[in-house]
Amino acid sequence: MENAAKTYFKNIKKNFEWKGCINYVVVVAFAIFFSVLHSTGNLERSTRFLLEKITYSAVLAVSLCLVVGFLGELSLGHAAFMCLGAYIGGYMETYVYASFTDAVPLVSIIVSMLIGGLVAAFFGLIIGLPALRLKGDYLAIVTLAFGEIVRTVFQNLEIFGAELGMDTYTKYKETFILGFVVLLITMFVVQNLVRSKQGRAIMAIRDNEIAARSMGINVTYYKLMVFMLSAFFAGIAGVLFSNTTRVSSGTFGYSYSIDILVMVVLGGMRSVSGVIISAALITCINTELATVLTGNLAALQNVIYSLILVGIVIFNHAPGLKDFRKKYNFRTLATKIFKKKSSAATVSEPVSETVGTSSVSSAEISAESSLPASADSVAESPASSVVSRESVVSDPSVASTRQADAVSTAEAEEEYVLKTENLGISFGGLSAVKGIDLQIKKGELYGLIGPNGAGKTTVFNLLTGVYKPTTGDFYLNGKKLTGKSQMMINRAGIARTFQNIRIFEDMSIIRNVMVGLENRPEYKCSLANSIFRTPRYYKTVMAMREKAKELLRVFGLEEIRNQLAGNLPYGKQRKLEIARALATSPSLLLLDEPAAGMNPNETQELMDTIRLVRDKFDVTILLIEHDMRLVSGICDRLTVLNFGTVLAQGEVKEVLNDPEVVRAYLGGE
Amino acid sequence: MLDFITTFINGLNLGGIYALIALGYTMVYGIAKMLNFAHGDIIMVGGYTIMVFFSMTGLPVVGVLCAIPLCVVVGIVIEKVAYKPLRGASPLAVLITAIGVSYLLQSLAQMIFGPGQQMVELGDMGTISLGSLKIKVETIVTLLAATLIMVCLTLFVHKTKAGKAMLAVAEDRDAARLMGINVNAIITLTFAIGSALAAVAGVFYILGSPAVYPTLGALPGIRAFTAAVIGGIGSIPGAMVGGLLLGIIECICGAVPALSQYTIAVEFALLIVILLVKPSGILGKKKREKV
Amino acid sequence: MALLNVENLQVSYGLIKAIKGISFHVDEGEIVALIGTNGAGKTTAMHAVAKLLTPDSGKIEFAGTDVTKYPAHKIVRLGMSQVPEGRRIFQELKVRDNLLLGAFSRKDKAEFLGTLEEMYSLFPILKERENQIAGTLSGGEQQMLAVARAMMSHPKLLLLDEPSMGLSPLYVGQIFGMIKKINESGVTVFLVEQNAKQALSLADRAYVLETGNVILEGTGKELLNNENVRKAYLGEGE
Repeated sequence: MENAAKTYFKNIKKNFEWKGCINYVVVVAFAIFFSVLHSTGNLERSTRFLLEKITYSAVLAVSLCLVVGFLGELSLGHAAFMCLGAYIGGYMETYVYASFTDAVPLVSIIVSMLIGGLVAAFFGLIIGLPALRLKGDYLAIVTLAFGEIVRTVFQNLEIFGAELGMDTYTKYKETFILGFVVLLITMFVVQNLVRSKQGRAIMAIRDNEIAARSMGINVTYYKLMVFMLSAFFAGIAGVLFSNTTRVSSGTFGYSYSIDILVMVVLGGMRSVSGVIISAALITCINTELATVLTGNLAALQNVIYSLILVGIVIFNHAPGLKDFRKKYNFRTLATKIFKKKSSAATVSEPVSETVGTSSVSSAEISAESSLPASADSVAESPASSVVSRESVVSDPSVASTRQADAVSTAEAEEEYVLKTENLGISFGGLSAVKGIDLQIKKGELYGLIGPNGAGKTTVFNLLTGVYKPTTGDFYLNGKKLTGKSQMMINRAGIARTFQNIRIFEDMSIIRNVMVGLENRPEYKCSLANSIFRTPRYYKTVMAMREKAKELLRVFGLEEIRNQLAGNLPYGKQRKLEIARALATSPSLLLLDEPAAGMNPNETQELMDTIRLVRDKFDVTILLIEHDMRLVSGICDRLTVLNFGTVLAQGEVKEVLNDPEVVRAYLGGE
Repeated sequence: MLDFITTFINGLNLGGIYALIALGYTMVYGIAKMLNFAHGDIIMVGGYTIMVFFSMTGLPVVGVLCAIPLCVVVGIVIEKVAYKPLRGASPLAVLITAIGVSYLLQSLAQMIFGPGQQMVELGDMGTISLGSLKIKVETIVTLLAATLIMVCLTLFVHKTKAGKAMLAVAEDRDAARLMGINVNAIITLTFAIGSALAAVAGVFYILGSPAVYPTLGALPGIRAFTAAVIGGIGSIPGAMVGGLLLGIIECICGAVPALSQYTIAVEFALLIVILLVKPSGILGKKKREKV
Repeated sequence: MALLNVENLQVSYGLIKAIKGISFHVDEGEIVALIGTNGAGKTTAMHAVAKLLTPDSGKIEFAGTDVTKYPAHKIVRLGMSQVPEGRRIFQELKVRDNLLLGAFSRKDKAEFLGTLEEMYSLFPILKERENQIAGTLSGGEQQMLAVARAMMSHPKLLLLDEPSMGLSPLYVGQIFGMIKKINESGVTVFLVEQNAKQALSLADRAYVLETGNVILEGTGKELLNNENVRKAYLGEGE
């Protein structure tokens, strides 16, 4: 027992990052300062009011930051969650258990906050559901619609005072202190979440959802969890609000949601500290200017905010300004000014990675891409943002698969790692791929080749669940995987790399691999464990880190494991992608054109790597390739596709000398 | 029955206005591949222009004639300054910028003109009676003009060189470039047309409810966006159908006592349902992701 | 006289340095082919010449003018037209509208209507399907439409990117026959192809591209019989 405690404290000490604690210290310092002022009767009412405003605004901003900055989705109706909390919590506190409130106001407020928060969280779940099927523009509009609906409903409910609003209990003088406490708790939960394995998974979803799915990350769970958690804190902010002023629906409209968004963007969307500072600043400025700028000029501050908002977004994201950004971002400027300090910072890097403050998030306002990757032909265009791949309902075929398992294992299919039967898919009547029969033995290096447009990547997409086949079935180690989701297929044992590399560019190399380890049962660790940094959490993370290091060592990437993945040269990024796929411990590894763009030397190195992977990790490998040197160099057997069907199959030499194949490639008369 | 017809006609009137606004949204979405959040606020810009010139000259016509080119200029400037630099950036960045532009327009209007409502009485065109049915002349004018504009736009898009170039750019930008089409010019043209349509919509809107205020465009803008999505975003006939439909639904809701306060909630609920059930809208086509 | 002259072209495609420094030229009246395996960089080279991609460095000269900095639509007006990979016809528009869009850069209405008639006689099936939506045509017909569309701008130089891709053997023969006819009518042709045999039989001269570098060049006949070409495509084979 004592040993366990010793290890625990040793772990905390080892992983402790002073940098991450500064913001707590600052907030606590402010809290203490103003509390002292208050207890000595020197705190003016207006200041107290301002502090209340600052704290609930900060909590609200941090809650939105979780959705916008870390999950990468725009929520334009966040004021609605606050509205729910304010009305429900305020109502309970003031009308339902009024005498309780009079007697013990603090306890009453806390209870009301919990109630308000939970109600808001429930609605967060409701908004999370469309978020599973919609992305980007459409989701933003849905959140906006939701916000308006909520506001309209409250505007008309007599029980809540309809248009005139509702008077609430605002007599508790120490609300601002409670506000600080709530802010600290919010910071604790959000920061610990973000700097944990779950946080990494969330950011993986943000950076490249398709890659995240292919690694077995439960996207549904994480999206819903983020929305609910974010709504919970927004609801609590609402209850705080109701203890400050009376509640009326007019406050919580679209423009308030925009105000919060401005706070988040101005604060640097991925920085909790930045967002708090920006919320505090903007609240103070607004309050000060409310008296100075009267009449029409009152809008001047909004003009300035919107100009800054547009300016920041363009500066950070305009592709044309990429070089300008490289030269003039905060990090390079800071490095120039503090030349000595920066070298010290790199020495301490290995420690920082464990607590989660990577070199990316520690810069208060990171000028590099604070929004998800751009210009991707895959999922980013608004038109395609609506297509859904995962259904909300959990996989119903699990039960029936067990039965199918029993049947197919009886047929002794285990000699084949992968078996496909008449696998095919049609898109709108046009068959892209048809009648694919593959049998791949354990430990084989199997090649899938064919001219451009033959359907090779389509086959990969079928095998990984990106597309559901319209005909046929496929089995992994005897288990039928037809129709399963990407997540289930990865957990069953198929992993892949992509034609256009899909690593998480904003994460360090080791974190890319650690995201791949998320799925493994031995690294399961509940959310509560992560947030409260229990001994189990540290054990899990340290074990994951060791495993990741081991994996990286095989690929020669261990030395540079803390570098940003996006800075790697192309060949190394390929290796990282393979390492990450292997982290999900697959039995079958699909490599999509791994040698694309490589010169003969790099290709040779890749060939050695692939052989090593097959031997050391005991995986079967199926690869798509055009580079015939590589194919004939390492593959055992091949399937040649042409026009979506199998043209030839068999031993490499046979197939490559098959006149049909020669004709397909070189051309016939 | 009479009430129903009156409601229906009002619905068509409002629907025509929404259709004109929705057309701008849908064209920009189809060709520039972005949601121009600030589109609705162009109506407000048009409204204030009319007010200024009307109060200066006392002639509504002057106001109207000045509003359209001014809105076109504003639309083009916004495109060049705020949206063009972000071509190729993530859609989230573009969306936030559009929101910022919208916010900017509203704040500027508030700063210059104040937050309150200002009346712009363009005059009453009178009412005509068909039996016991009374129809306002302005309703007929709005309907006729909206129909005329939609017909012209459809002809423009399908029969003229520039219009077909727009269709080409909407479908495949690179292929359009290979035809010698200046894609940047086409996108600018799209914004210009969209803004002009918004300005016209603004004129009709003010005819119906003669007040201008900084957030004038926000609600009609969101509603028109809803209309565009319901009809199928990116589809010109879809915007027309969606607009008319939404106008009728809104007026019907307004006429039903129980629902009248919840009109906006009903419209948004409809939007959410469509997005979840048939995201491509009534007339839209499904687009597939490329992996 | 070189109609198209490319010097030391380097192009990156995303992170990949796809073209590492190639030079080639196309003389007036020639058919020149650029062949190579997939991933060799052929389409990247084509895109860079047509300015759909911006090269990292290098020079592109067309009819004596330095067009390295020109935007794509301007080059079309100079007389270079491309049939892109995968055809990329406007699926939602009618066949006739696709063809008329090809003439977008021309102002002389009577003349380009004349070209339209020429195209109809060269590809009678397009006249038949004049008012059909382009997306309903078969693969081979779409390829013909794409070629005809590119010809509508009355180009001096016609670029073809993988004209045989995705076509059944029947259509492949037809398309290459068309290309020959077009060349005979005075249009210079530069094409990029995966189907080496067809391309080399057709071309006057050819270059072989491998992972971003030109490794062989010669006349079509020379390269047809060159063992190294076969090896580049199918590996060491035996």
